[in-house]
Amino acid sequence: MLSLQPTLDFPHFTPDNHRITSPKTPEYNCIGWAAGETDRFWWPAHHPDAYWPPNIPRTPTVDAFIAAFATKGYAVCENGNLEVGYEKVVLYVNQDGPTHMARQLPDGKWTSKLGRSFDIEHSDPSVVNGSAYGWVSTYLRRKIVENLSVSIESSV
Amino acid sequence: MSITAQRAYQRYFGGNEWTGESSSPVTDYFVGTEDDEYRNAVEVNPRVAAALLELDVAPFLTAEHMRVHEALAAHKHNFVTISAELHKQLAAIDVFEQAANIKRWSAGLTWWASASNPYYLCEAKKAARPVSFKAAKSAQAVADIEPRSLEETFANLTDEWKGATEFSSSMTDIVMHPAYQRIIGLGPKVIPLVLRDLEVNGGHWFAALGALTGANPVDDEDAGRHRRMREAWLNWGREQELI
Repeated sequence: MLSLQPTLDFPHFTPDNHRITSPKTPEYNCIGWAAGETDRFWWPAHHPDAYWPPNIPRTPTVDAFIAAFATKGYAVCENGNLEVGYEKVVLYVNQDGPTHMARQLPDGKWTSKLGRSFDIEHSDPSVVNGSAYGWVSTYLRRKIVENLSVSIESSV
Repeated sequence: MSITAQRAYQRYFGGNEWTGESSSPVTDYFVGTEDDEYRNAVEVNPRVAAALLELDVAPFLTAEHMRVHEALAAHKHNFVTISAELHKQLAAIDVFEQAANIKRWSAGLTWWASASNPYYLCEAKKAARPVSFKAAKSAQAVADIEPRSLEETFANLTDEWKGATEFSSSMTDIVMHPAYQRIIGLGPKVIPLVLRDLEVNGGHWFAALGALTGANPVDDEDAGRHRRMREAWLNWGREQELI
């Protein structure tokens, strides 16, 4: 299992708490990855190099990120615990504002795209805390639509 | 801070908020400017203004140039742009290499900003009169400290930029990194190298290409789609016979 060495950027890395799950690629970033897109680089910049949902403030603030993910059906929630019927993402910040996002996997682990580098799977959100991404700020969740449609069909 | 800068600073922060209806503190400061373009020039972020003002009348020269970028990078989304009139004036300046750098710097900032984010930088007005003794000295200083080949300089800056921003998802941090801005400052002669690196290694070269060329071959709907943007720029480069 490939993993990364702990560094100043990621001081909490250990061989047991994460693994690399993809090659490096610049084609998407952590925000796009959290949003479920692997062909688009999300960032609230006035810049054709980055995508941001229409009509959402293009400012790197927590509120703007919450609003952007609201367009995907997410709303703020209390924690990153695994909840049946919901999928979650988490926003990281440092002293300057948002830096990173991760997405919860169905088994309760988390997946992060590290900038232009690898995707990794990590055991909990705090694994990527450090000077690169700061710390966990906000959890968001949305109902898993596929399950909802299945349950509706079942009930019919 | 010089007396001139102090005066400007006081005018910025003297509580006289500009309404856009009449002469602003900014236009007052730039004595002799009557054109409407500069009536629309206003700095919105005091910290950035202060950082630029401290540079006084030669903020665009080499080390000072980098300080500007660092100041801007430190303040993230408080971007600046300059007026069309300033572009005209800059376009008329071709005496020194530094003037060319100023033009590229200005183009980069303007390209970065958008019409929906109209932060105007009045201080850039000063760039309209940069042909000075300082500029000549700075041009010589650049020649003295950068004897390496263009390819070597580009490779070193590229390595520095990619290494420093590898884990960053912030497009702001990526394109405002000092090494990236220095690559833009190398001028049009670096365009083939940028295109070649984009072709071979990928990466977020689009802001640099936009600043260096003034072109934008990317469809709006492809914003953020690296693969399509890359293809659009490479096709543009082939059409221009740059690669």
